Amino acid sequence: MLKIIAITLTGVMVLICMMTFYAFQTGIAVINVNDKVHSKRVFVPVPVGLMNLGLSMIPGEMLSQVNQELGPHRKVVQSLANELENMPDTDFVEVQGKDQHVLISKNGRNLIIDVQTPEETVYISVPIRATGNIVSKLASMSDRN
Amino acid sequence: MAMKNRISLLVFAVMAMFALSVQAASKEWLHIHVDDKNKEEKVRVNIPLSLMETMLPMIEDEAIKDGNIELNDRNVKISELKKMWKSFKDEGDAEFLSVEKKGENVRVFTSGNFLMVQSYKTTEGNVNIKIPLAAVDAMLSGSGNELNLAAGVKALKDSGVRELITVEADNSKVLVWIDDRNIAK
Repeated sequence: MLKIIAITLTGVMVLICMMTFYAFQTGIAVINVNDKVHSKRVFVPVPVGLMNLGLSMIPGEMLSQVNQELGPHRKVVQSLANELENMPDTDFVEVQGKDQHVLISKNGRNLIIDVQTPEETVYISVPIRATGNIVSKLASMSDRN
Repeated sequence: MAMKNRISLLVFAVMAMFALSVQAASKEWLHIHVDDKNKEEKVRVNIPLSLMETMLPMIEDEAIKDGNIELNDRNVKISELKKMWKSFKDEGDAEFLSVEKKGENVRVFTSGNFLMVQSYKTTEGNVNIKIPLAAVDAMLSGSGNELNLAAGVKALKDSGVRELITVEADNSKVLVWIDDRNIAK
């Protein structure tokens, strides 16, 4: 009995390790919204690899809608991701206002959008390659359906 | 044999590094700087031209519909723009527009391989725009009612022109230029 429990636990731990490794390998998208007015904070880390796995669960209707929106730009998005990935770290757009600041930049493997206003701060970090792959996969899946 | 393999590997590595450094060096960036002291606002844009070339088909799809483009809130037909440009070019070096009145001086002319716009208004300050003719040619090379923005960017890149637009007013400054650095000067 103990042997079975030990084997099951080892299996679960190996699975968790593999999923963690996969998540880190493919990158983690982070959405962090801080509403200063209502003192609320939303922090969502999303392993993009898991999003990739979840794509197959999207219903057909939604896929055809995605195809309409995404289909024409599929190649552009894919080549954009490739271009971005091979680029040095850069601030692409920076807007500094009297009391607000917007920055779109590339940092390592991530594209970062950072918005700061007196009311709220929004921070979004997206792994470039994984996102490009997802867009491409989404478009190709909707082609098939 | 092992030695030969090691030398081949070393040669390959050196060649790869050289190729990468050449590629990095040839990347050119478009920079836009806007400083507006009245609004206390600063805008900095640094975009690689190669990225622009990739993105432009998307913009062409969205912004230029049915062969029309919006210029200063006016709908302009691309075909008319092409005709106008052809007649401009046939003139050679010439001044196409000259406005001189109190507090305002505007000139649009071609000089050598460039289309120049120079304007001075007491309210807006100095505006200087320098666009290679080849870039305009390339942009208008699209079939029918289309603009070929990607070809325009490529021609701009190949032209070697650095400073494209400078606007200097009392409280604002706009600079648009190209260089090979990914950070603004």
